[in-house]
Amino acid sequence: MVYNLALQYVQKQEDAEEITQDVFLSVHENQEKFEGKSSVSTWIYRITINKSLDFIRSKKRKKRFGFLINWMDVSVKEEPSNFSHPGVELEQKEGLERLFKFINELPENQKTALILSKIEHKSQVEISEIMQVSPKAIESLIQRAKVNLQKKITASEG
Amino acid sequence: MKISIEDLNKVKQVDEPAFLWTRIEARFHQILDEKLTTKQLIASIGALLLIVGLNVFAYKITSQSGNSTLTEKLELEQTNQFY
Repeated sequence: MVYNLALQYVQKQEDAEEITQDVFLSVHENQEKFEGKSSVSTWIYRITINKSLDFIRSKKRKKRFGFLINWMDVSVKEEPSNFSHPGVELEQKEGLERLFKFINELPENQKTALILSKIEHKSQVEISEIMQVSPKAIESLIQRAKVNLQKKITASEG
Repeated sequence: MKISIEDLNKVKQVDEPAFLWTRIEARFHQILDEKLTTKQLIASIGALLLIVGLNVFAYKITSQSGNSTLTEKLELEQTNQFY
C-alpha cells in the first residue's frame, strides 16, 4: 500500500523505496501520537501522501538550484526520463508516462484526489477521511482534476 | 498515441521489493543504536558530575571548619571507619 501509493506520486522505483522507508520510520517514531480518531491505514495513507509531497517539493528545490549550475555550464545535457513505474507494462509506458507528466502538473490536492480515486480505487468517503475534507469537496476536486487533465491531453494532441 | 484518463486503470499494483524490508529493519536498528549511544553519553556525563560534586562537597566540608579533617567533620572514628 505504502510503496504503491508513493510510486503513483513519484513514478520512480528508487524514490518510492526511499519514501517507503521514511514512512515506516515516521510511523514508528510517531506511534504514540496516533490518536485513534481514524483507522491505522488512513493514518498511514496520510503520512505517505505528506512524505511523497515533501519529497517532490525538495526535489523541485534541488532542480531549481541545479538550473543555475546548468545555466553556467552549457555542456550539461538535458536529463533523461525519470519514469520507471513497475506497475506500468511496456506497451503502455509511453502513454502513461505522458499522462503522469500531466498529473504531476496538477495542483497537489487535485493530484492526490485523482490518484486515490482513479489508481488506488478509494471511495469518496475514504478519500475524504484521508484528506480530511468533506466528501462533497472531494467530488469537486476529482471533477476539477479530470477537467484540467483533459484540457492538457487535448492541448498536447493539438 | 492517443491517451485518456481511463488509461490510469491500466496501472497495476506491485509488490514491494523484498530487500526494502531488510533496509527498513537495518534503519530501525541504526536508530536504536544511536538512541543507546545517547543514553550511554548521558550516563557518563551524570557519573562524571557526581564525582565532581562529591569532590566539591568533600572540599567544602574540610575547608569550612578550619583545620578539621573530613573524618572529624563526618564524625567518624579515626581508627576503623575507613576499613
